[in-house]
Amino acid sequence: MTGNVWAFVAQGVSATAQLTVLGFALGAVLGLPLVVMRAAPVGPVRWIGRGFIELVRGVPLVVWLFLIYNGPTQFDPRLGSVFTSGASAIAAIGLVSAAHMAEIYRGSLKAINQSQWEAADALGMPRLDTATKVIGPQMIRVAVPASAAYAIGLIKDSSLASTIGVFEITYYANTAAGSTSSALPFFIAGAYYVALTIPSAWAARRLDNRLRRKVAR
Amino acid sequence: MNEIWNDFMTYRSELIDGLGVSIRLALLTFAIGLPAGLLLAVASFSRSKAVRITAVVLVEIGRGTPALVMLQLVYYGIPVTLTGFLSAGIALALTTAAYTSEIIRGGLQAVPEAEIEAGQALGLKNFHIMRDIVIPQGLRIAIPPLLGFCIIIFQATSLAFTIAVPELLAQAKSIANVNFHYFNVFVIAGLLYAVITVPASLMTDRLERKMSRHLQMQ
Repeated sequence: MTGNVWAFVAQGVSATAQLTVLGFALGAVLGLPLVVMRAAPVGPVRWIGRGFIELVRGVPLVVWLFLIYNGPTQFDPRLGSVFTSGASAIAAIGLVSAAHMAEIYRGSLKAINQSQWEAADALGMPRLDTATKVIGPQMIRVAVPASAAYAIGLIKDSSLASTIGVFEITYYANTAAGSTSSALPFFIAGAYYVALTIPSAWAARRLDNRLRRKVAR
Repeated sequence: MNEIWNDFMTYRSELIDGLGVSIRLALLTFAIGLPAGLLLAVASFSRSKAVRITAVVLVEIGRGTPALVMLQLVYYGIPVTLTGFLSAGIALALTTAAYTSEIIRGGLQAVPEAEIEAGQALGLKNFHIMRDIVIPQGLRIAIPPLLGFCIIIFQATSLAFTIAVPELLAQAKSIANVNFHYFNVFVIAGLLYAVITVPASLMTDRLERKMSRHLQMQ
C-alpha cells in the first residue's frame, strides 16, 4: 500500500511544477511594468503602483484564488467554464507574484550604480534605451537570488491551488488521506516538496554565480 | 459597490467574528512559534555537533513543507484529538519557528565577534554571553524582518479553513455558499485582511528605515 501512495501522490508533481513555472513567469513579466510605475517620477502614477502592490500583497493568496475562481460566477454561472481551476490558480499566483517581483526588482534597482544613468546621458543615449539596455539587464541579474528564493517559495504556495481543485501534490495527498484515513500521504507530499525545493535552490545558486560578474554596483 | 456594502452590513457580525478568530490564531502562533524560533537559532550556535545538526534538519523540514501540508499533518497526524484551532496554532507555529529561526540567526550573527571575545575576556560563561550580550542586540536587529514575517503568518491563518477553524475565510466561504455572492463576499474578506496587513506593512517599512538610518549609504 505504501508504495502505491508514493506513486499516487507523484501524479501531482507535474501540476505543481506547471503552476509554479507559469505563475512565476507571469509574475516576473507583470512585475516589470509595476516596478516602472512604482519608481515613476510622477507622483500619482507612483502612488497607484504602490497602492496596487500593497493591496495585492496584503490579501492572502487563498482569497485571491477564491475571488478569481468563484467570483465571476456570481455575475454569470457560465463564466465558470472560462475561469477553470487551473487557469484561475495560475492567474492568482501570477498576480501575487507580480506584486512581490516588483518589490524585488525595486530592491535590485537600488543596488545598481546609479551614476550609469548619468554616464548614458552623457553619451547621448535616450532614457528609454538606458532603461532597457543598460539598467534593465543588470537589474534582472541582481534580482536573481531574491527571485529564485521567491520562486522556490512558490513551489510550496502552489499547494493552495488544491483548495480550488487543481490536481497537484497536496490534492492527491488529500484524496489519499481521505481513503486510507492516515496522515502518511501528507508526509509523502512533504517529501516531494522538499525533493523539488532542494535541486531548485542548487540550480539558482549556480545561475547567480554565473551572472554575478556582469553587474556594475 | 453598493451591493458589496449591503453584503457587508448583512453579514458583518459573522465576518468580524471570523477576523477575531484569525487574529487570535495568529497571536497563538506567535506565542508558540517565536520562542521556538529563538531556541532553534540559539541551538544552531551550539558547540555540540548533534544539537547543531538536529536544529538544521528541523529548520529545513519546517521550511520545505508547505504550511497547508503542515496543517493537515498536525490535524490528522497527531494521535491525540486536538481542536482545529489548537492544531492550526501548532502547525503554523512549526512553520513560524523554522522561518524565524533563520531570521533570528541572521540577527545574532550580526552582533560583532569582538563583543563575544570581550565577554570571554571578562570571564563570563557562554550562557551569560548569549543571554546578556548576543540575544538582546541580535533580536533588535531581527525585529523588522520578524514583523514582516508575522504579517505573512497572519495571512497564512486563512489556510485554517481547511480544518474547519471558523476564521475569516471560512466564514466568507460559508456565507458565499448560501447567498452565491462569491465576488462580493471574497472582496470583503480580502479587504478585511488588507485592513490589518497593509497598515502593518507600512509601519514595518517605516520602522526598518528608522532603525537602519545609521547604516544608510550614499
